[in-house]
Amino acid sequence: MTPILIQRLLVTLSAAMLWSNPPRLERPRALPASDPLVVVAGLAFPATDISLASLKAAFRGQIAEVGGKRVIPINHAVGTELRVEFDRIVLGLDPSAVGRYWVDRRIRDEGMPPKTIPTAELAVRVVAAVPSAITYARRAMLNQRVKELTIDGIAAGEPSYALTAAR
Amino acid sequence: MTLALLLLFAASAAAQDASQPSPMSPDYALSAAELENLGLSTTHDGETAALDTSTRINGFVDFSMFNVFTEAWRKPLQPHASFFIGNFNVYISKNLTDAVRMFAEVRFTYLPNGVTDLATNVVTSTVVPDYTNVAGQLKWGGIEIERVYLEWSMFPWLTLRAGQFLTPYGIWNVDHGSPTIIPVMQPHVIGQQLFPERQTGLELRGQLHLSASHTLGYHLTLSNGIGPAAEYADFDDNKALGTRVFWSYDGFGQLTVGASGFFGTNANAQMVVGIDASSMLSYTERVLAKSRVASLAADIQWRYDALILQAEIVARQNAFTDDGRPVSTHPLTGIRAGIPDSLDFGYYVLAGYRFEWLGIMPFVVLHHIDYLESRFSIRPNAYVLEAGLNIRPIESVVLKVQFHGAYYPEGFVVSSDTLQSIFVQLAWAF
Repeated sequence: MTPILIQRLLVTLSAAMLWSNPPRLERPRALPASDPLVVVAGLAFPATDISLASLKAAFRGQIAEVGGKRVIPINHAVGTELRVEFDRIVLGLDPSAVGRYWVDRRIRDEGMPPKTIPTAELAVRVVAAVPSAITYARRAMLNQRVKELTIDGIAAGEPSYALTAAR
Repeated sequence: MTLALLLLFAASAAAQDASQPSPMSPDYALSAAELENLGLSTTHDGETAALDTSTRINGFVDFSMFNVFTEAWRKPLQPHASFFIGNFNVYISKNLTDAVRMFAEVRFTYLPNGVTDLATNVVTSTVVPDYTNVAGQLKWGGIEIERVYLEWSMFPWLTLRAGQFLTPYGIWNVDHGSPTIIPVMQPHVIGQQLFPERQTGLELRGQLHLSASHTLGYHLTLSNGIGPAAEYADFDDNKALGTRVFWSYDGFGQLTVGASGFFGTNANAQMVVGIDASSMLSYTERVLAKSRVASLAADIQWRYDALILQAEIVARQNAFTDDGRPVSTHPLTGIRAGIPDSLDFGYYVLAGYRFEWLGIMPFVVLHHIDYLESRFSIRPNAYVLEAGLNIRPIESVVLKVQFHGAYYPEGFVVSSDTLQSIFVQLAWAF
């Protein structure tokens, strides 16, 4: 068998293999507007519920503990749709006021902003890997490595769910 | 050929059986290295923490211009409109563990150069020849340690600070930085330090979230109190106690109501060294001044959307002990007299509304103070109205323009005319 024949055979087999098992390139999923905003944590997170007070405290740069563990809040990039919505509900701040809020807190030494992750999808992956981390996402973004937390015992979609109150 | 087919088959099978999805999949689990790249460090026990252990350096600067319009006030305050850098404050902070961190703030200043001593009329000069430049001169300045402490956060409701900290009273003293505070200048009731601006000692602080809307918080302080070198020396055995409690309601906007207290001594003493009968050195502490200080304050702040209303009221009682009443010499008349006890009092009310457009906030401040000015043995009774614009087009930069009018109904040693002045300030955080 000549080297050229071997090369052609390898290319053909590779193409066949790729056809049968293509890389799963995910396209951004169009999320329905009705898809609720939920609080997300990894499976190792020590609770299935978080109080709104702890959620607010964590994302305001204060210490918050759930199940004896210090909560690590994971934020989304400034200006993204979910970040804007979450800041409005949890911090009570519009996008124009969020930057001022964190500069002011830094000058007072009242805490630093939570870790910011560039995309919502990556934030969900981070909380899947970090046991005491929480973030927020649309329910459709969840996978089997994370779980949705109820807030004060109320699940998304139920009446008076905290993250839909201001929507 | 057979070998190549086997290899390809094995590779294909491995790809199909892998439990780990493709890195492009949302189901893909991040590795420790990828978490590290996102700034999430992996601890020794395998747990991952979002602890940022880098040394952070930031701070703020303000650059101002001040001009007095009232002729009678120009010479004592600012004969000529001047530009100046007021604060160049650098913060250094570092998380040592997830519960222990350090924080420091230092202010770089041109002082004491150019300051006139009222008693001697001598102008302080720090101009010295610069040995790195034979023909040149150098004006050295100063460094003020604003605060430096180690902080241990044990629980959400209990944090211990040890070191030098800003006195946790009211709103203004903690807002502290020029990009954060709305007007250019502190109200007199804050500037006169009816509470000490900062203390050295211990501070316990914490918050208790009663519900999503209601929070209770507290501060307890134990410190050297007040004195000429309270940062590192207490001139008596009475440690000062302080407290602040507040309640915060997060519902109809954000409402915070607080009350603060400080109880301690303001002491100054000198160690006189002599030789006793047995020819040994003897040390005698001579009290130069000592007074019991009790300060009380109340504050309220309401933020609703773009509206802010805040007010503070502060009072201080200063009572000298029998052996601690100092004598002061009037800088103008030379008359010597004992400084009387005093009850000082003041308040301010601030209102502002920030528009979306360029982040412009018109604001008004009304403040009043009635206190003993011990150098002149007078009680300035001032009513001040300030109005201006706080423009914050981007989060880190603030431009302030402010008119200041101070009225002294009983006159003042400088003039009985209403003091009118204007401040312009550019402040930025970094």
